[in-house]
Amino acid sequence: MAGLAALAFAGLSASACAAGDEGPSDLEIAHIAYTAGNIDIRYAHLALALSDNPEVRTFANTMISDHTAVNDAALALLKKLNAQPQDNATSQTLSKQAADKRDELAALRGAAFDRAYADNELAYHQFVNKTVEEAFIPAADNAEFKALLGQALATFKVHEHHADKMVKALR
Amino acid sequence: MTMFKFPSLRAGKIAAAYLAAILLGAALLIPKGAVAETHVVSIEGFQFVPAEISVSVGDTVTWINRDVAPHTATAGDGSFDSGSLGQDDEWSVVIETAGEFDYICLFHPQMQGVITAE
Repeated sequence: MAGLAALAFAGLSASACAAGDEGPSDLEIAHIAYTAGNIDIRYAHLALALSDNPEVRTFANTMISDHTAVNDAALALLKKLNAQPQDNATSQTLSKQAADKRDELAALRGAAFDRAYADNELAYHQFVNKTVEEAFIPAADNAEFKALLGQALATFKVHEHHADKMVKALR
Repeated sequence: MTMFKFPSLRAGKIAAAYLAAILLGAALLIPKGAVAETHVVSIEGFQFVPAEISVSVGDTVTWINRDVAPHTATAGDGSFDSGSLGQDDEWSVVIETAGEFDYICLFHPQMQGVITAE
């Protein structure tokens, strides 16, 4: 996870240098955050397809509804600002790594899947939360966007606690 | 073409003042608690605010979701369930029986509230 975080920050600083600015642009952050949300929604759909565990299924359903709501709010704000999210190396790296992780999870069944899904959810939310809190929110320029990132972070922190409980319950 | 005469403006004002006095007196005579109230619970930052409320039977409780994430207000005993409330959605229920009603958000069960109805 530290490697992933380092990679994400490397991708961000590279594009930031190109823009001659400090940190990623709002439109890059928006793209990364949206991508990260969609990744978790896809993990959740995989869990609903493969898991019979009620706790895992409840968690997965909450991930779908919450990340959909946050992403919809981001899209609504971008539309209001007449802006388009900007694809970037970090988004692409996240997507590639998530595809590999999905392949890994899809090969598992039963309790092995449940544990691996729960572990990944905890690690993924820890990584995303650290990135949003320490990199994205400080770098965001638009006040409304910054506020939305704050709401998103509050949501993802609840997910992190929920995932932590799920990991412990499945041990 | 006027078929009848309206009372004079002054007479009307006096009548209105009497009526207001009668209504006010009636309102004061009604025992406290007999008029149904509406209690608003805000859902914000993954919490019910306030988490504990006391109501009278017949009162209405209204939840308003201020979070981006959807929430529910769902009674543990199944007596009410808001269903999914998106951002700025609100939902109300009339509390028809006395008792203590624990409720949670089905999506985030760590969110808990209680209504005490007398």
